[in-house]
Amino acid sequence: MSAPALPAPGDRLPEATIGPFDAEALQRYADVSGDDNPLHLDDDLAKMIGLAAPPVHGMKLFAFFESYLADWRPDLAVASISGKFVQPVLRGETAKLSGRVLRASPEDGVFVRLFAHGSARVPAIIGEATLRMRSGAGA
Amino acid sequence: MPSEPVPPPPLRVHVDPERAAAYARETGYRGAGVPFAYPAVWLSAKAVRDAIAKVCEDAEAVPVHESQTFSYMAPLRFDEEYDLAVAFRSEETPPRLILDATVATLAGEPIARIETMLRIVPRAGLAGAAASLSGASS
Repeated sequence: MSAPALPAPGDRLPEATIGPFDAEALQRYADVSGDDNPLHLDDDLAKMIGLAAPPVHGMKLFAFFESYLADWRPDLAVASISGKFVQPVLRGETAKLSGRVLRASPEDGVFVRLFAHGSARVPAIIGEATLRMRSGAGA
Repeated sequence: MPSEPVPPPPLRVHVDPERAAAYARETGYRGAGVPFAYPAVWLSAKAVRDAIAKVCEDAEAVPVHESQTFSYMAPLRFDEEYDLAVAFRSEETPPRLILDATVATLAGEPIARIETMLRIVPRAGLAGAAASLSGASS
């Protein structure tokens, strides 16, 4: 059986939408992660700093990239991933995930640029990931 | 420049299968392994949080999560214990506190490197920074 082909530079990942996340979802994330920063849970505090609603934990959104990448190419595993938190996604908003392959080689793996967009034009998260073929998946 | 806290001694951490499953549910992960972002739960340990809080208290500031990186040499395994070592460094312009964490097996085999970059935002300037508060995490 031949090994699965690597994606090509320029390939775009299918877009996906996550959320919206309600107050209960933010509380559950706070409980499981230990990140109980009240900014994510307290409407009044969010308003004090000029936000219409509490922002979703950036790490919660960022972590969704793993399943997004796995849905695209289950034969590839995340070796490293990073994200810069640029804009808030507020409670009740959805986020759109997208990505594009920048480089791919059997030696260095697949390098993907990732984006999470909330309602703003500017991305909420700009990320990058290096993926490698899962053992047993060939290549 | 923010002060650099004294790093806590290495922390013995554990991949709790129930907590990992709950973390997976809350982050959309449907795979069979440990979610790559799961070590975030270890970084909320009291020793780490207290060190960050002290820096912020001294600077009359709050931490804003600016960026996050996970690099894996090997996957985490359920119900395994690991040693988590956290080091701190700071940058002056703009003020940042950076956590460099390493996860290793109890035999010392490196498993993962984690970088957490926190922007140290003066409380007085917090409202103006709201537009970039996506990851405003403690």
